[in-house]
Amino acid sequence: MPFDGTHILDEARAQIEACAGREALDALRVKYLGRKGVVQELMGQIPALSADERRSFGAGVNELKKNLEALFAEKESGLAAASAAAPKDFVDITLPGKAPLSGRFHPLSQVEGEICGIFTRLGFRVFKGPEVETEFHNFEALNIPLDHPSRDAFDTFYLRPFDASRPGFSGREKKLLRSHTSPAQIRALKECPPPMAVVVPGRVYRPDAVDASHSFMFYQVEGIAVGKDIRFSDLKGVLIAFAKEMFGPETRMRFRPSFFPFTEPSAEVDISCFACQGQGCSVCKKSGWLEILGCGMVHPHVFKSAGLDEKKWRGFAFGMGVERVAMLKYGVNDIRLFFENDIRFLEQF
Amino acid sequence: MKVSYSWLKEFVDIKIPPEKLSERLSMAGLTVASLEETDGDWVYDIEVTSNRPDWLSVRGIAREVAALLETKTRPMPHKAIKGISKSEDFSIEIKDEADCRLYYGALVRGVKVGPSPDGLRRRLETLGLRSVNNVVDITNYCLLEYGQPLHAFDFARIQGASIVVRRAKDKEELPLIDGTTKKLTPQVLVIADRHHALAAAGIMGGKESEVSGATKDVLLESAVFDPVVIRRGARLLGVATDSSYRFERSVDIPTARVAMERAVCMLCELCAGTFAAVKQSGSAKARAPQKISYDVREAVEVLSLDIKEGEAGRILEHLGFGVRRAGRGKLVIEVPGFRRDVRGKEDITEEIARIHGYDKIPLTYPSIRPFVMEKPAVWHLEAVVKEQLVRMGLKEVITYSLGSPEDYKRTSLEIAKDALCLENPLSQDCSLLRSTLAPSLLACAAFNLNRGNGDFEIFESASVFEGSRETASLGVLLCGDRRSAWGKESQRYSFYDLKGILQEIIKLSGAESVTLEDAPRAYFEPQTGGRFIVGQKTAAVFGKVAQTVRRNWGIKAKKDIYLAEVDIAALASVARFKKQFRPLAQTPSVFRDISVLAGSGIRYDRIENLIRRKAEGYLRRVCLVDLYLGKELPRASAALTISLEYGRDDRTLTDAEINPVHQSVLDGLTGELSLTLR
Repeated sequence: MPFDGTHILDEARAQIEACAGREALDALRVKYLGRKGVVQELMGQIPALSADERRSFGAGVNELKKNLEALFAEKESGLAAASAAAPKDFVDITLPGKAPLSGRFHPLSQVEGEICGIFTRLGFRVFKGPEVETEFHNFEALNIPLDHPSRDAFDTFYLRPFDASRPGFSGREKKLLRSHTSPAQIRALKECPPPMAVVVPGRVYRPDAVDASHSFMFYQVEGIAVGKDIRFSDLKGVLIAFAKEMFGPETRMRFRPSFFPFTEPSAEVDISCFACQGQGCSVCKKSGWLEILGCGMVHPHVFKSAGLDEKKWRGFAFGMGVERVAMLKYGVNDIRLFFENDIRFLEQF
Repeated sequence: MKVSYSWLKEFVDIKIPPEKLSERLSMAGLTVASLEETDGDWVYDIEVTSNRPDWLSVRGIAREVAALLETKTRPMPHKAIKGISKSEDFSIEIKDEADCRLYYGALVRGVKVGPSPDGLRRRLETLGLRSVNNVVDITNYCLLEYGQPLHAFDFARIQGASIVVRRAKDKEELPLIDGTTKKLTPQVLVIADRHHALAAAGIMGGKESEVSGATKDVLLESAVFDPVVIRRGARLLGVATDSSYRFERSVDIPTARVAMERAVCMLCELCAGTFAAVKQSGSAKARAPQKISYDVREAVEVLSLDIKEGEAGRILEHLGFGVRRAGRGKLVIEVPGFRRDVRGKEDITEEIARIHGYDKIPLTYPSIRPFVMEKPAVWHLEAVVKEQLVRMGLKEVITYSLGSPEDYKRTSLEIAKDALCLENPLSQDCSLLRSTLAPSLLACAAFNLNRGNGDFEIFESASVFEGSRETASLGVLLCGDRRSAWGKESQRYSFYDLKGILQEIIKLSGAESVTLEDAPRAYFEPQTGGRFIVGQKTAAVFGKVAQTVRRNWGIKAKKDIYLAEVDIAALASVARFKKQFRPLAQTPSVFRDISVLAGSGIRYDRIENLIRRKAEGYLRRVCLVDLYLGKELPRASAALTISLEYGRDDRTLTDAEINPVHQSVLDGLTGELSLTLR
């Protein structure tokens, strides 16, 4: 009589599937495959069978054993996987992440750093000059004579000792808070003989009443490059390289003639408005252009002031306001925000 | 400077539309701030740079338009007056020709003062000027057309019929036509008669000699005053007029005559006047034109423009320069009198570039060669310290370098003896140049706390000023808690957080032999002030901000504030930026913890020093792991848990070797320092 283990297998399968844990599964395993289990009992019936029956019965029991083992193995790996997936403690991946405490450079420092970084990659070096300057460096050396209307653009804070009994300052040594970073041109030319190229970032001061677009203290970045064969076209090349990196590769630039006492020829530079790509919007007041910096070829007077031979050297210089760039770049609508230092403002950059 | 399209067209044929002209002007340096259509005419508001007084007239701008359009301006529509009269009707006397180089007085008799004809009135009103009467309007008209300020006196009001150009007497009073009365000083130049001042020369006319309906005879003034004298006078009087604006920028000598002639003609034509006489005082003559030798190669080289001698010459001629071609690209250029801004070849180069168009200059890149520049240690230290502070979670602030003496009082700080302040402050709040960052940071903290920002850590890196010293300084301020995003892990900032930040900064500088001292300061809580000293200089002062100072700054929030100021320059002077590798230990360490009750005059530094001394040769590291302030402990004491790491690089230490060493440490603590072990 051939052995048919189907009903045993079906019963076992139902029990195994219903099994919730490893312990119950082990008990079932003993029941079916243990030393006194169902399979062993069937095996024990073999000797009592005829030689003919033995073969087919034995094959049937072996088949049953194999199938049972497979069922147990399958359930076991299922249980293992389920236990691995079970939570050990409470985690909700949708809860907000904890941002690490992160510091911030002031937005003006960030923009200043970006500007200086671009020029540094173009071969300029960073130079610094004092904020307390002399009348000579701030004006005369830069071809801005006393009592000349060209000074109107440079209203200036003059200094005196707080203790009124101390002697004041006078003449060329009269002390003031620099009204632009350009006096550093003279210092840089004296300290690093040409050929040279430097950028000078720093604070400058003008007696402007404070409002949304004016501040009596603000930041500028000045640049000067001097060599024997520096040309106006080089100035254009350097500035467009700067503008494309600062404001995006599609930026266009336009140079308009202007006047600065310390450059000749002089130009004011506009970039195409990055908010509207030059189409005209509220940022550029519908003109499509944003005035961004002043520049020109270094005036011979400046070389003379720095003790250099003005016939031998040629150079270009430029200067820009950091607040203006930062306001445009970040859409900041009030310059006072930069100096209030509200933490909520600082954390935005 | 406002100018209208129709007026310009009187002098030059303009074949381009008004908008196009606006763009051409802007791109040639006459920035058109606005272009507005009014009454069928167009008004350009042009920003004139201070070097171009010749653009302060319709004629001057017309000349520029002509150059841009490669054409010529039409000549002036007026009759010349020949010579100078020997009239005895009036006299002119200039006291000092340095103040007034030239003075024309023209007498026009029998004028009928009344409203201006429509054409004249409209022309002025289009440009935003108020029509007064025909005589005054004519002077304004000529001022706009020629850039030469003119003034009309009621001849009958000039006592003794004598004009005297002199400095004002001290405290001399002058009622002006704007209704104000000014007290003068000898810095102000006046036009006077025998007895008193009639006008502030070049600035504004006087009330008494003003032309009125009763005026019959007019004395017309056209003069050349010294720019500096007018500039100083106008500033002193606090008055800026179209007239003073032009004199400050200097006027053209021949134009003074031409404008006067034009005005006389108009007075005769439009006011039924009769020309009587013209007299002159002052000897100024138009200078011989300055000559500049110019090589066109200059423009070619500086501008990278392939421009030819012919074109360069044409541009200059259109602008009114005399040009002689000397061959081989050389030009001899005669600068017209009205172009006093042109002095050297760089100015000629600009003229060529400007008219040719800056947009035609190509883009090239300079050959910037690498060059050596010594970078001061302080610049480097400043940069790396800022970087490190940001990494540690601090926010950079930027505050004003100008403060007030009140800020120092609030901070319980004395103002430095050689502090600097402003001669011309905008307000007392911003009058003192700061010699410390402390008040600014406290102000910043107060501002934030009062706005409800309770927890923050900030720093500022800026210069401070004292006498002739300008030094790099760093301020650090910690307030409230070191914030965690959520949960209860926020940690209250403590004195030790601030000290740790400063130690990190000092470590960055690589400065050696740093010592710490107590630094009691009025603005710190008692016992909380400390300072780091490097090379005999104070590198940093730090502590917990005193209650009184907090109150003075209006801080009500119950948040602790810790403040430090670092002298970056002092630290940089001893900085060593070298970094040196030390081999890593190859043998295991043995750790032993000690718990000790500190207080009663024994501070941590003595404990650590004793440990180092007793365990010398065996100690790899000693560090504080915990500080416990329990209520069960004696007053003003703390339980310290200190971890000692023993180890030697030459062998592995056994307990047998370490135990006696550790015991001597314990004995020292209980014996030498009389401390209780816990």
